[in-house]
Amino acid sequence: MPRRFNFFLMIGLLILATGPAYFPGFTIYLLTYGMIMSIAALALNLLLGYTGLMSFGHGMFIGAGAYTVALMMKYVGVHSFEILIPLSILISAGLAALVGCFCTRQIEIYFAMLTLAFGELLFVLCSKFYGFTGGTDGIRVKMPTLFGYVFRGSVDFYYFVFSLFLLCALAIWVICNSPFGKTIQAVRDNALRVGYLGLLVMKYRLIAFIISGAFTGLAGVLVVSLTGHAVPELFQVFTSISIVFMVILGGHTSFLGPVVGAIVFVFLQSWLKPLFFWQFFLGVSIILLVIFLPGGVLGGVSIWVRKALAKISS
Amino acid sequence: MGEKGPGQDIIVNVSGLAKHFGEIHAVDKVDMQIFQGEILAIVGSNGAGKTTLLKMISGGQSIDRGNLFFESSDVSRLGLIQRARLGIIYSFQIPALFENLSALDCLRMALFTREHKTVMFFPTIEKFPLVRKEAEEILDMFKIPKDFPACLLPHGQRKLLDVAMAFALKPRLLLLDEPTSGVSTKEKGQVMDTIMPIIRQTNTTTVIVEHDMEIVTRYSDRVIVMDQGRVLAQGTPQEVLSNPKVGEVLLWR
Repeated sequence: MPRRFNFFLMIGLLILATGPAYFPGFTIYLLTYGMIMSIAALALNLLLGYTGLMSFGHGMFIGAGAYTVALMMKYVGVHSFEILIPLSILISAGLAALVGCFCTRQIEIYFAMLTLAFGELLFVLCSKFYGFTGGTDGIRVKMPTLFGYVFRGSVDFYYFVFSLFLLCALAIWVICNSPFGKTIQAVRDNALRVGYLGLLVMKYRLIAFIISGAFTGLAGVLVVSLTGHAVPELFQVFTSISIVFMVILGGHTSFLGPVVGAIVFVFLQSWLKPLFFWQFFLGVSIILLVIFLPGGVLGGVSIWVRKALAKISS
Repeated sequence: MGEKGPGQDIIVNVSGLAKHFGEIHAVDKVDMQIFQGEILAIVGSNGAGKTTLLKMISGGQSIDRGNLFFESSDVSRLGLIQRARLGIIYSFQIPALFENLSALDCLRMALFTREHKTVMFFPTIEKFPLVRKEAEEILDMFKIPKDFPACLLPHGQRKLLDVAMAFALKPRLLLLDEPTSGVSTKEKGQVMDTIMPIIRQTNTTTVIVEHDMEIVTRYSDRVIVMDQGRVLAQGTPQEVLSNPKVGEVLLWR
C-alpha cells in the first residue's frame, strides 16, 4: 500500500512541478491558488484531523496574514517577502495564542462556535475601521519582492508558492509524526487518559492551535499577494468554511487529503462560478460527499483503487 | 513471596478520607497505609467505594475530607496531573486507550510522556530507536501484538494494554482498577499471570481493586475489605478470609 501511495504522490508532484510548461495561464493561476489553500487546509487538518478540534474561524488567520502584508505596505512601505512572511507568521501565531487561550478551554461545538465568533469579530473590526483598514473597500496590494527579486510573471510566483507549499507540507508532516504529533492524536482519541498520564491536555490543544494558525497566516500572505487585494471578507466565516470544506472534501483521515481537497475545491469553484447559483452546487456536492464518500475524495478513491486492484489480481 | 506488611516503609498514608455524592457516602473516613513494594488488594461488593477510593488516591476524584500523604508529603490538594507526575498512576477499569493509534504508538506515547518529550516537534517518532525498543519490550512482556490499532484488539489485550501504558511510566504507585473485569473466567488467570510477574520483578508498589477472592488470595500480599465506604477488615488474604464479618459481606459471591 505505501508503495502505491508513493507512486501517486510522485505523479502528483511531477504534474505540479512541470505544470507551467503545458498548462494555460488560468490553470496556472488556479493551481497556485490551490497550493496556497493546501497550506491552509493542511494546517487546519493538524487541528481537525489530528487534534480533533473543529475550527470555524481559520479565516481569521488568512485575514491576519493578508492584512499584515497590506498594512505593512500601506503604512510602513515594506514590500519584501523575507520580512512580510516571518512577520505575519508571528502575528498569526500571536493571534492564535490569544484566541486559543479562550477557545481551547472548550471542546467540540463550543470550541467551533468560539472560533467562529472571534473570526466574525475581527471581520467587523476590519470593515468598520475605515480610516485605518480601508473598510469594505479593502487595500490594494502589490506583489512583494523576494530578496530584491521582482516576480515578473505568474510562473515565477507559481514556483515560489510551489516551494513554500513543499516546505510547509513537509514541516506539517514532520510535526504530525513527531512526539508532539502523537500526543495530539492521543488527545483526540482520549483526552481523559492523557490527563491520567500526567499531561495538561489544554496545553497541547493550544500549541496545536498556534501552529495551525501560524501556517494559515502564511497562506494568507500568499493569497493576498496572488489576488492583489486584501478585503475584510478574508476574515469571515465563508473563508473559514471553505477551508473546512477542503479538508472534508479531500478527507481528514489521511495526511494529503486536504491537499487534494484544496485543489479540487479551487477548480470546482472556478467551474461552477459562472453559474448563477454556484453555491447551490457546492452545497449539493458536500451533501453527496458526506453520504457517499465519508472518507473524502482521497479516502474514497483509495478504496476504489484497492477494490479494482483486488478484482484484477483475483 | 516473603511477608510484606507493617514494618516496611510506608509509601501512602491515608487518614479520615471521605467522599460523598449528595447523601451517599461513597468513601467514609477511611484510614489505611500502603507499604513500599507490596501488592495490596481492595475487595468489596459493588458500590463499596473501591473505585472511588482508588480515584481519590490518583487525583481523578477530589477529596472532601481527610488527608493523603505520599512519600511523606501531603498531596491531598494536588490535582490529577501533579500526582501523576509524582508517579501515582491509575489504570482504568474500562480500558482508556488511544483507539486509532497502534499498540506500539500507545506505548511510545506513554514513554514520551515519561521522558518529557511530548513538546518535541521534530524529528519523527521513528528517529527514537531507544523508545521504540523499550515500547516493544514492554509489549512483549505483556504479550500484546504491536501493529494493530488499539480499537481492533480483543478485550483481554485491551485490558493489558491499559496496564502496560500505566506501567511504562515507571510508576512509584500503580493503581489497577479491576484488571480482570469483563474478561472471561478462563482468561482472568492469563491476564493476571501476565501482569503480576512483571509487577513483582520490578518491585512496583501496586493497589488492585478486585471482585474475585480467588485472584486476590493468589496474587496479593495484603487485603483490605471495604463495605459501604468503610474499611471492614485488613490483613493477609488468609486472615481476611477467616474473618467471619468478611464472609457475610462477600458471601453472595
